[in-house]
Amino acid sequence: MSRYLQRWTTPRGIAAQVAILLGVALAIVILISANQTQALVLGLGAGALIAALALSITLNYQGSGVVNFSVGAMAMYASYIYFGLRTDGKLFLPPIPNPLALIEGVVHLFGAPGFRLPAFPAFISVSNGGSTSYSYGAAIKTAAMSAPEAMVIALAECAVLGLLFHLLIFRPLRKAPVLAKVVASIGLFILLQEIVVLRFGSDAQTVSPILPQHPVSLPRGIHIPSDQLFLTAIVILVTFLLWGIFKYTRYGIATRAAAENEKGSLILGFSPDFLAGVNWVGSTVLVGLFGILIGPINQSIDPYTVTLLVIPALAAALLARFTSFSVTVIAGLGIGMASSWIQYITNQSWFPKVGGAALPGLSDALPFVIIIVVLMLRGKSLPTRGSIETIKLPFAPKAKRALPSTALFTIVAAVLLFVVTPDWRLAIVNATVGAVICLSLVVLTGYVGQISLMQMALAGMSGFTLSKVADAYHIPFPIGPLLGAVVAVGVGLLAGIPALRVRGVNLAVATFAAAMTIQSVVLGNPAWSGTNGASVAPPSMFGVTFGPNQPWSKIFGGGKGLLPNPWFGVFCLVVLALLILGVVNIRRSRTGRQMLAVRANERAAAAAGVSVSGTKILAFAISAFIAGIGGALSGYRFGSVTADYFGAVPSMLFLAFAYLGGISSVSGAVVGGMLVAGGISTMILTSWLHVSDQYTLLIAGTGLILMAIFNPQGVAGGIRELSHSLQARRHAKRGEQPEVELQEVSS
Amino acid sequence: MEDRKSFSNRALRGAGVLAAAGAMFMATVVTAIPAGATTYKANTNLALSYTGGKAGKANAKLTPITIGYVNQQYGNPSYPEATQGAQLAVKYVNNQLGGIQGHPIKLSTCYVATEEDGQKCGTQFLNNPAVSLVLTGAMSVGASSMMSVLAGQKPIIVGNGLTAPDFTTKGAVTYTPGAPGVVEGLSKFVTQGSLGTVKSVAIVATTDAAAETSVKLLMTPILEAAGIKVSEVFVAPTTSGAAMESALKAAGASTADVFIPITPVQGCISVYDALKSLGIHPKVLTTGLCYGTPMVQALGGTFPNGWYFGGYGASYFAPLVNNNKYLSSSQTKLYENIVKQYNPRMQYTGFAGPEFGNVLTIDSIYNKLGPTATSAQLATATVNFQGPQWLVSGTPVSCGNISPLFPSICVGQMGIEQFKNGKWVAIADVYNNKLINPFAK
Amino acid sequence: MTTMLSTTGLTVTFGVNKAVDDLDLVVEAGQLVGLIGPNGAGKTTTVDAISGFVPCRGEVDFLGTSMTSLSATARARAGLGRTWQSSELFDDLTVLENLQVAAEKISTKGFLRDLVNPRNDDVEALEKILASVDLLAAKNQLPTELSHGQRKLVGVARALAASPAVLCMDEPAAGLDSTESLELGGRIRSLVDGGLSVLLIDHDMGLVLTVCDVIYVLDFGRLIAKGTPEEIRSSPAVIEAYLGGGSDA
Repeated sequence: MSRYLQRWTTPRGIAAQVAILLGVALAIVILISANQTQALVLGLGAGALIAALALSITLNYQGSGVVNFSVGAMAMYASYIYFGLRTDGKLFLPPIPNPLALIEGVVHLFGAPGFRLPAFPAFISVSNGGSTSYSYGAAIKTAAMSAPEAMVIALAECAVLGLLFHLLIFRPLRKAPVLAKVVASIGLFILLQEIVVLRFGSDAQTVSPILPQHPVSLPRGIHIPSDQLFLTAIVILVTFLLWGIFKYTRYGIATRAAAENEKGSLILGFSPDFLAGVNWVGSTVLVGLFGILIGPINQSIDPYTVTLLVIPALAAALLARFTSFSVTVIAGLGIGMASSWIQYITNQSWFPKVGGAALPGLSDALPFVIIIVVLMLRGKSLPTRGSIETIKLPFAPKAKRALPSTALFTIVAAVLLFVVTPDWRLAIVNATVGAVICLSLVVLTGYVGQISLMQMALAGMSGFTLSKVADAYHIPFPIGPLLGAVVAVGVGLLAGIPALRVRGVNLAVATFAAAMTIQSVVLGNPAWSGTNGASVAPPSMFGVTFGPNQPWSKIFGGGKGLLPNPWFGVFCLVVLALLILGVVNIRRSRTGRQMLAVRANERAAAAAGVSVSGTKILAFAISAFIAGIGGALSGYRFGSVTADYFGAVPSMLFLAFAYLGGISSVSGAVVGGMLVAGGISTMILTSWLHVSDQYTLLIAGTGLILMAIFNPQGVAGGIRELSHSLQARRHAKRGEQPEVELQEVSS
Repeated sequence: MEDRKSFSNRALRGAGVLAAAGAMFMATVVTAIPAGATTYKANTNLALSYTGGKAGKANAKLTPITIGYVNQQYGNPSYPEATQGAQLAVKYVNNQLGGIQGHPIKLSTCYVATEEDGQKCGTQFLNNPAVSLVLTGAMSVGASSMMSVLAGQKPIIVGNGLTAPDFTTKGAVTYTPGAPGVVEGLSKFVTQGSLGTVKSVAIVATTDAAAETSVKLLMTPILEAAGIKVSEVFVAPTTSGAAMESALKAAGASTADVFIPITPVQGCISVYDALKSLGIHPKVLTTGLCYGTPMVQALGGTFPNGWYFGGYGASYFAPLVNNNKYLSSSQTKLYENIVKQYNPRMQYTGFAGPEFGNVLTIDSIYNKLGPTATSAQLATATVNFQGPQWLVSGTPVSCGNISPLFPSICVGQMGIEQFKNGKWVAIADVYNNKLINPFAK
Repeated sequence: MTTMLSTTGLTVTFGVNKAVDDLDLVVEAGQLVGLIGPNGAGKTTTVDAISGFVPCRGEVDFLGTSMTSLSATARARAGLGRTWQSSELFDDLTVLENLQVAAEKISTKGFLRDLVNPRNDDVEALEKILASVDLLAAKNQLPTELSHGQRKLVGVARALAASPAVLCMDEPAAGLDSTESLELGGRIRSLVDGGLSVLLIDHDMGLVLTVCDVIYVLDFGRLIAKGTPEEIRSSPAVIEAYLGGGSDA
């Protein structure tokens, strides 16, 4: 008794009590109003889907230590498998590179352009298909397959896919660092989405109902559609089933044991690998089932909506510490219902308005708020799953001869700007701006090991600030972007400081939710920035304007040069070079040593007198500052800033590009910049290899997964290792030892 | 002044999503004309009188005239049908309308999926001396960066305006009333009394800032100024039938004189289901988005009975009445037949129709100026083009004088039609000469 | 003699288990104090509590000031150093950099200067420390390239680099053979003779009994004996704990 008393009288305990009391008070207020209760109840369907996704996340985490960012994409993918079967009787296949195309290419080369070999099929016909009639421009199809048939086949494919995900992606990553797993699941996210877009297009498709739809009346005139009730019932049933399995079967106990310590499951006679595989199959079938069932409730499926529900689902799973099924489901249903309720109340006349409209995106902010409140109330850091061995982040080398090599790189790139065609010039500019954003991740993720999925959102804060201060207060060039970067630092710290309590993948989840919140509530807020963006005037100093669209004269030969203005590219390169030198100096100074100390071992760092949270805060600030500068450059580049460009998904993509390039070195950031959309790699793909634009994201997704598995050092790290091994071979020939060996990082 | 500026900014931002409404309205056509149908010799005279060209093929030996064409072809969202419409028109012009004074038209195509692509396309067109004029398909991404490159340098014809830059960029013109026109037009329609005495309006709109701001700034103020009681409820874009029911209840759709849903087509389907399950039958007034293909599919081949739809003022579905001196059903018939003749399998719904019309307009402008027309000449000509635009509402075009807030909009008419008992009825459109001017003071 | 470090009623609870129960412990200036006990006696937990890594009840005083409310970092900065049983080196940094992390104090001014012109201060002093443990040659190597014994010494050197007033050493001899262990004992003794106060935790009775001035013996978190090595050798409670526990010694 006294222990409980003690717990409740701590500041945190008091805060928890206040929170509970507020919650109860709110619940009473809601329940008094029939309309608000109705709004709450109508969130059950979405809540059930969020709960199912969260359950699947928990299953994956328990089984294989992977926090699966692609769980929403899997549900979406399943809904399209079902849709394809039900309407056309066809099973769609991902685009597979056709080896026959090579033969075709050779034959074409020898002058037979008409030569065609069979391509891989895009669909497999399972049933003959129904009949199609046309009315007012719309194809009206009769179903090709009954709902149960289509569902069974779709779920069977889900099971196969789950097994493939395990065997091909996540088993090879079993001992990889958290970051590699996060990146692989991001890769899968992109891949699944792009396959669907390629096969079905991005427009919403209409699906016919599966569950019976009729209103069920509750007291006080409140009603609930029966399909939502069914869905909720199914998710609760599944929870009980999972609970029973994990509590009473040897398999479940072994999985729980494995989540604590993989040796534990070995004692119970299960290989952790087997458990992971079974859990992947189970979780994929689970999300598949709900993906299929939710489509008809929304009357439509599209490649994006359900995919992004991963954010509230992650919040629910985090709330349950990736362990408790019951808490996960309650949280999932709660988030769904609360979102519906928030949407209702923000439309009420008494709700505060911003610029005449209700503050948008408040329900998008809900997961972030929940995560932050939970982290605040929860004392200890959240557990990270124990496994036999984990490999650390890639080696963070100290750049040698940084000043001359940066100068050389900058000069070469600057000269290229004047020599190459405008398309390539734009690509260099895009790569430079991309490199700045990647550089922000080198400091935070590469040096301090904190995974951030909100860098683009921070860049956006800066870009919009720049637009605002220049437009409204006429603040001139160097001050505008610096102010923007300072605002980015402020927002970065605001989101980052509460997240200090967590590390690893939990931080990734928290920052992802933060990015969503910034995108919806701030950047997408019409009162502040609007959905269609804000214009950014070109930079100018001492009467010289150097925006990308500023006319310019050639140095040699005179005359007007083609746009974009290469001097803008030079400006971006100089900014990048300065930031690179700053980051190199950080790495070489005490600050960098302390950062790497924190990354390597937080408690040893603390014992060595390093302030762990201070170092993290500093890294968040530096990183946000750099991202902010990147956002400002991006604004100057386009002459405008748009909310979607700086959203949660782009933030996620940028972590992926930075990782691909090499997250822990400045050279990696430069390579990462080359890989971003519109950068050097895009140009190579489209203008040299003649790959259609529509495949670039598909290739990026596949590349991410492969890179996470085979080369966690990233491209830059891979090149470094290669050059070292060549050096070692040369030394060996001469009978010498290489001076310093790099730490081995294998997968 | 400051207030006015910020109002206009906000209004612009709201314009986005709804442009799609108008475009879809205008261009939804019966698709999938059976392949191998009897080839129909289209009446090219109608088209020739519009373009001022000579019948017959363009001379392949003459230098082609290059038109910059940009479209959001892949990704989310994408509008590939706009490209099909443009390509169809180019084929038709080169094969039957004699090109541009004999020179064939060629599209220099650039596709966007990202903001970076927009800048790239703008730069390509600007740097390409062969391109003197740029036509856009439909872009919800990349327009901003593309137009910042081209603004004031080369004229832009906005095929299907979606975002603010489409309506405000210097040197851009759009020969449709655009989304702002459709939304404001709906409000004008209500205040004009065409639906009887209206004392209360219930609005349900999606929370995407675009729809929300459109309603807040282009609809509610106009209705309230006319003394109408307005109740607004905003819902998530993905709101399902059930949640839609509660939204309808909250907005008071059952008791209001007019109910206006402003949502994408999926939301329209939810609204339809919600009305059915609530058992209420209000007067529904909405945008052309609500009879997109998914709605027809959801309803098994028909449209919501009794609903009023606002759009660009002409519809292929409307009763084919030839009582307008500018636009006749022969135009729609001709378009349909050109599709049959050249590409019966093409998807010519959505943005394809306006795009077809735009290419014909470009042909007519070029035919007047000659194949050597410069960007400066074309810029003046596109602004001075009086139309009416092929396949659009059928009244004269007047660039820069329609709306001070949206200087690129060149058409000041929109129209309303109703689907009633299996038939389309002209309510206030080109067919009964009752087009609405949404921007009139 | 000045009291450098003392605990009063130090208690650490994990759930329902008391890992350390009401421990009073004193380290005087220039003293080498041993803390021994069988496996699971609460030795490491005691060091964790003193250095601020587990929450505890009771008092921890260092140089006459209460440390109880301070963070681990603040305690380290105040001069209360510690080493770890498993070295816990910063594997991404070279040996010298490991020491630099502990030696350097960070400041805003220093940070801004580092951005432009990073400097390496005090490297000579650190090299001296490395030389004293025969690791100067390895200063540019990564810890992963060193032997287990060398890694342990780097751990000690890193702790010394912060110039602590009191050093808590957690099982520095673990994993070393008896010769290495005795050699280490000699090094520790010479540190103490040089003026450092040390709290040495080990379960190698031989080492502790050879080098320490005062020894505390823990069993199941409770203090069962305290005294000079001679007193401990003859304490029946200690013999009972070690033999009765069936433990190694």
